[in-house]
Amino acid sequence: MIGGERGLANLPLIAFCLLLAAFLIAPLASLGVQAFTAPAGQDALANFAKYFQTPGLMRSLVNTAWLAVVVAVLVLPMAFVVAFTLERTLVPLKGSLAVIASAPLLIPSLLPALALVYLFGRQGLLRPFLGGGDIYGAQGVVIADVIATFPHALVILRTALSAADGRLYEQAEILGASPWRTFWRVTLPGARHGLVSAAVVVFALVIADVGAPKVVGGDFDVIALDIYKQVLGQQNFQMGSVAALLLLLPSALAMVVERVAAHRQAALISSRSTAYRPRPSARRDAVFGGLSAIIAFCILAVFAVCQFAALVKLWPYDLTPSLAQYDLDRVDGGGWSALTDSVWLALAAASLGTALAFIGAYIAERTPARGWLRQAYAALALLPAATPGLALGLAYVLCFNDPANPLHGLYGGFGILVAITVVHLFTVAHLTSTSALRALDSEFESAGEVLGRGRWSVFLPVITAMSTPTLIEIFVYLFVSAMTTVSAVVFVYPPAFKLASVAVLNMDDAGDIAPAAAMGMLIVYVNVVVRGLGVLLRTAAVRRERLAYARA
Amino acid sequence: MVSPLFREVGTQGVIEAAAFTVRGLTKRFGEAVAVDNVDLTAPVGQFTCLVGPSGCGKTTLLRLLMGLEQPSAGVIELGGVDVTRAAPAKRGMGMVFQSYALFPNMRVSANVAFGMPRALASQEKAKRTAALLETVGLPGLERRYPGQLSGGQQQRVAIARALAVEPRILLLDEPLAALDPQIREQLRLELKALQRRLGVTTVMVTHDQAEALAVADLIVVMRAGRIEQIGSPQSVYDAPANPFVASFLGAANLLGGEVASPGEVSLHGGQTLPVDAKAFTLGQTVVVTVRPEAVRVIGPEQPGLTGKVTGQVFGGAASRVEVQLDGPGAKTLMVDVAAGNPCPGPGEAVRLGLPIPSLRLFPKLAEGTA
Amino acid sequence: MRRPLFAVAMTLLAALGGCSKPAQRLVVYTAAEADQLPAYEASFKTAHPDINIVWVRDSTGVVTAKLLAEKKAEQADVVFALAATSMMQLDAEGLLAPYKPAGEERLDKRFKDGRDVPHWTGQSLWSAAVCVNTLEAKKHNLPLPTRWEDLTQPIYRGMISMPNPASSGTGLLAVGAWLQIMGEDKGWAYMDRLHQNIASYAHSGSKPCKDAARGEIPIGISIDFRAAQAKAEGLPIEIVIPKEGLGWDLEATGLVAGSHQPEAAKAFIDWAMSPAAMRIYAQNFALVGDPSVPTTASKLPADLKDRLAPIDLAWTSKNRERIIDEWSRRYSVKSEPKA
Repeated sequence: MIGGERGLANLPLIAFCLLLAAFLIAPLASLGVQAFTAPAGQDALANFAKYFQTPGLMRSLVNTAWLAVVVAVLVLPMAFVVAFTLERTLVPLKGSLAVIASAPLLIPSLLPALALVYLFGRQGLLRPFLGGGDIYGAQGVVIADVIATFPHALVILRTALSAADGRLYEQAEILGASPWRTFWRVTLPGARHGLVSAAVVVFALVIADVGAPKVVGGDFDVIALDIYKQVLGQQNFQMGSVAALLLLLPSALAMVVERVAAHRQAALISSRSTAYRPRPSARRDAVFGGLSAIIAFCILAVFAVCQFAALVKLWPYDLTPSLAQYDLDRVDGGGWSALTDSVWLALAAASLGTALAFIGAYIAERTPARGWLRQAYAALALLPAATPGLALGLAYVLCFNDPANPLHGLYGGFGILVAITVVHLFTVAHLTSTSALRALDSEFESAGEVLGRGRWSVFLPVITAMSTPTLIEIFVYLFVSAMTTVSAVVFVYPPAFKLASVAVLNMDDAGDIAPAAAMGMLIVYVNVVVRGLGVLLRTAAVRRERLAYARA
Repeated sequence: MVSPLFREVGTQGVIEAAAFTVRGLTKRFGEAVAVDNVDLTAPVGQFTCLVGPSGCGKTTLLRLLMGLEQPSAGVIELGGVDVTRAAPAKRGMGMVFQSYALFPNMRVSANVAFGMPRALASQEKAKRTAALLETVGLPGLERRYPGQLSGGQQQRVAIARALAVEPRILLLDEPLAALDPQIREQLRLELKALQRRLGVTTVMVTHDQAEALAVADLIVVMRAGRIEQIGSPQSVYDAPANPFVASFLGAANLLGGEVASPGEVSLHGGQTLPVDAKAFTLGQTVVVTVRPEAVRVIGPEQPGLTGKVTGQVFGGAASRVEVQLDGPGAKTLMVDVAAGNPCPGPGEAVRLGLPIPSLRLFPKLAEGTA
Repeated sequence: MRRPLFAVAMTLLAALGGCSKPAQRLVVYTAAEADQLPAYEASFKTAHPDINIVWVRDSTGVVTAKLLAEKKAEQADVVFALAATSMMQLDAEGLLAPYKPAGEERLDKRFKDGRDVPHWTGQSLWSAAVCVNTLEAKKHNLPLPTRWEDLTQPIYRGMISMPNPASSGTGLLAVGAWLQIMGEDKGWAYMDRLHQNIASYAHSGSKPCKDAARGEIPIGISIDFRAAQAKAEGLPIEIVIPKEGLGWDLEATGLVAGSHQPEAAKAFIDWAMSPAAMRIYAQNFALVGDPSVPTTASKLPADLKDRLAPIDLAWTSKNRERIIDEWSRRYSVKSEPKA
């Protein structure tokens, strides 16, 4: 009976592992099979050999690496400045700065690229400042990706800087260290794992992004674009799979580095640490406040210019205000129904994803299951973050339209869109759930059991109720990400179910960039509303919880 | 024995406090043996304390009793009935966790009523909850959240919640560990009083020997998964079964030496200590234990051990003096000097008397064995 | 690659189809312009009220990729209005079943696949075209080009955009046509010279013309009907038909091997080649399969159909991979910032 109970206890986690295996491992395996399926008479690596012999493709590889490094090098100082301003200075309007700086999380990655066209294209507002230069090419992609990845780096660096141990700063002050010396000797080393983590996340985001290279890349080819071109331009699934696998490797490596760095960063803060409180310093605040204001202004400019372009009749020849660009049914991409379809998808993916990630993390963290099984689940749950969206999308196509797949029925329907969106975004939802669940008293389930109601009796009334703010956070993250993601769904969306984010891509593709900007801004507005509601609900939930925790 | 709890609380059921017996209980986690072939009987209505250093298996033993862990071998009987494989809820036990595991988002009333039969009318639940809170000394706090209570109040809510399932045995896992030292001492007395009043068989786990000595009717000293000694606080303190128990329960000096004659042990460093060593063979290596409060500072004319004071800590009722015994490789001896007696200062040469009845001899064994 | 102008909520159409009484359900994959579908459906419905069409519409590349991906379990019954070069690709994979539509003998022979019982049949023809932004041309003092060769003049340096053949069917069509019109060596030499003037290679066939309309680039090599459409919208566009001849492709229709509704599918294909359907195509295309139906697309240059180069679509389709590899080797390397 002991063995039986043990086995029974493993069942839920086995079920979750199987779920991820069916919707993640199996598709990736199909991708591998496709990449290694060579024409008859050639060895298995023939596709790879061919890839590396193609000069254009080889160059994409170099371009991709160069792009990722350059963007990371540019984003880190910028994100660090804003993170420092928010966490370590007494600059006024920090709340607004935080909102503006994280705003790019709410926008499709193509929008900054479109803004660049409007600002620096041949008819761009700021064209004269370019001095004859051109925005199309590597420089355009770099700028667009810097804006798109900025908030991701910011979140990580804010966490790293907010968790500083105030005792170290007091010590530095007692020892008479100058602010600069303190910065170099205490602040930077204290945030070093955060910096590594942020750099790697930016790296992974950049190599997976297809939007910016497509819109402002000009002839600057990257691997993600190669996958897109191979699959949709040339219907060459083998080469597409090879490129996808090439993207998967550095991405997976980045994921491993990121996890290690994140753990180390967390370990720097001990329970004896005291919170750091910034002292007044006009010079520091002026420098960081000023730099942050410039960055915030640039981000606002992206929104402003896209909104402006979407509200004029015909850029650049007729700038009279007009809602003509919002007549989205006039252009390719799916029209207004694409927006409602996207909202439905985002709602479905956010609901299902929140529930699955939370329950999965709960089972792995707080029910008695074998150690190896927990490790397997943890590894599976991290894998999506290591899988670029395009690779996952191609893998889904290859896997699910195979009639031999028992889940073949999902192909071409709404279900597969929900599935790929949830899987694509699963890691963050899982990690957020896990840390929230770990923060809860480990004896709640035992208490439920001892009180005669069983382990699961506390799941809803205690565990879930206590995790409400986290659940809202995860839901909002999944929703806004589902609204903006292009790469995961661009190969998978069924023709009867167009998506707003894909529509932005397709409209730009067709040259309809004003409607693309209009659609992009519609996504932004939906996300702003959902994010706003999320913040309100979360604040209410936190207040309720704080009330419960408040000492009399 | 009928527990007065349920008369007090006013429930219809009359539940008997029960004794439990454990035989050959063993729990392995992979290679590690957390509980190693333990035999134990906790008497009805008594307060039993499992005490030992951290990692000695006492908490695992408690969780085995509760049914939160499954034993690798052995039998657990409750009131003569085998409950080894019974679900936790079916064992008639209540448990208070170290963290209390109160549900922070529920009011005190909901916490206490959580384990009551769900079929019970809410009015009846409220009545019982009020009675339980009265019992633990927290009347009228139903509407509070756990976070609004002090640590001591939380602990008592946790006890009330555990009692709500009308347990025949109450298990307490380090219930005082989370509290400030000042209130800990007061609360252990209250805990003891409550247990007396309720008459419920109670098993408490603690790593704090002073706490165990203060509240227990029966002390079970554990080390490395095994029971070292069982007995009343007085007997365990006065007659420790081995040097480990002696040094773990209260302070003890451990002096190594060899039996020089049936009446003498030759200590390391060369001095000779008069003891009753008739049970030992000549030349046998032994350990002599003596409590610091048993050692006396005596005049230079009397026979005793000589040494030099190396340190002194003022301690109110008694000051503790550290004496380095004379002789190469000799030990340092802790000596408690009661307030009012002359206390030798650092550097002073002293002579110490160790009364023979206060000395206990143990054969020297390899470290780690009982 | 061809992009449609107007999109229609497909879900709505599917729902409309689903509302009527029990009828046959015909799944049609198409790259036709979304805004043209209602007219097609209405015309077909008058002939076959008992058959409900479920349109699955997307760009040429997506539809082709989808059909190839679904090889093991085809969902479609008919492929409608897909580029002939894509049809050849599908045919080479064995995805198309032979069927000779009623009235096939009336069609121009350029619209046939050459077999007695064809695997696909063309219905309308679209071609390359050059879009010139008149305002930008005036600003930069650019003369209106009249020949492909004109585009290699130094005055057009950095002024031209064309679709990348690796991602766009229109790009492949243009490149294939140059290679066939000029011969391979001269064709590549021409592109070497043209390459000097190209500002960027776009990922779709529509984009160069749309970009030209916005002044993002003065000159865009694009698709005829996209150019006509831009002009119809009043955008500052002049359509240039280079004298050497135009590359072209067909919108073609064929029966999917393993169709679940072969009879309904055949009825649909018969309709697609009927005079009624041809008259609808003629509203948008310079040339339709039935020579007796003249074009009514007013914004297209009248002489466009006479400028079509005598090219072999099958050659382009067959040499597709080689052309793209060679093209990428020569031109996608330039992508380093030119400034």
